[in-house]
Amino acid sequence: MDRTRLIQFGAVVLAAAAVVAILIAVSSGGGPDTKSVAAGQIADAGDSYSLLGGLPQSGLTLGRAKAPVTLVEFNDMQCPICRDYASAVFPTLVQRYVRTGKLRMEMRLQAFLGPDSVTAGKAVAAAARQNSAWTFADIFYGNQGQENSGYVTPDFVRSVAAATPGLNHARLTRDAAAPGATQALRDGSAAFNAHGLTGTPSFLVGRTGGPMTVLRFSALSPEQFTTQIDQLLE
Amino acid sequence: MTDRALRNAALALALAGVGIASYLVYVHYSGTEPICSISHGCATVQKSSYAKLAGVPVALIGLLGYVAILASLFARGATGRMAGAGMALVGLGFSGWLTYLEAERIHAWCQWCVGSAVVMTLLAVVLAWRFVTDHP
Repeated sequence: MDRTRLIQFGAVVLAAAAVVAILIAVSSGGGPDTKSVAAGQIADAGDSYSLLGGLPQSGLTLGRAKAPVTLVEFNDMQCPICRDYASAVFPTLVQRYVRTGKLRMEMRLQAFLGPDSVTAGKAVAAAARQNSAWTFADIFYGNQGQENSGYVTPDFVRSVAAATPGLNHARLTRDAAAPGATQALRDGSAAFNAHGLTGTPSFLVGRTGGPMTVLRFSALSPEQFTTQIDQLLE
Repeated sequence: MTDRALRNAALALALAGVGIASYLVYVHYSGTEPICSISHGCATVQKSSYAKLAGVPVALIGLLGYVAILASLFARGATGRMAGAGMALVGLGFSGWLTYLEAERIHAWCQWCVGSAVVMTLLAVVLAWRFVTDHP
């Protein structure tokens, strides 16, 4: 092997490494927002009130119990795409179908992104015991911080709870530490694995009480969801 | 292995890469869901915030990379070989980063992206070997 050529190759490797480092630096900027939310600085709660106010919530279920169609959402509270779904698709589904009694939604909590996911998931499970899981989760998404940055502190949870109408924070803290919250995460994970799902958010949809199928979507546009729900409502 | 064999292997790999990247570019711009045996993991990856680099779809950058590597195979002399090896090494490094993102940040797998990473890895090995064993 030619020594000069090996030296040239070393230079090529170094140049390639420099280019890759630049690409990675640019790509990292495409990740989740790096905002952090201090206690008492909860934003976007007003949108959640107007969207979900007056709708029946029971445990991890949103909407009329006898609604003809059920949509099951598998979500991790830290997942930025779950947040994007919550802002880009969820409001349309709530206004068009949940408010009109045609759709009920169920949440299956996941917590595989990191410790903040576990803390957040248990908080939502605890909010479910006060029938406020969906409002709590929607406000949480509106204030979601950088993944695994440790932003889901007791103060952060307290602030989201304080912004959630009718939610007792002391009780939420107790329930989040109780075995029931851990069990809710285990149940969510078991359901996720049972359906062979690989990422969040994932969805199952079907006639209420009937077989559920995975809802396929390629973009977070309401139409990709409404088309399939409309077919089930026909 | 002869230079001709290495060039032919690189040609086949680059064409495979062009095929995969073209499909992902089509999926990106058509808004359709990629054919994926992993429950919409491909869609999750494709619609993640990492699917674009400075506003340009990563799939399109990959396609341009494969085309450039393909073009380098038709260039004569050491400069073409060096360019091919350099671009494949950049592709290898960036594919590694994207695979890390799938595993650690997006938590979903796109088999087309993994396939492209495998092709790019093989291309980097073949083109690096072709470059260092080329005697001027």
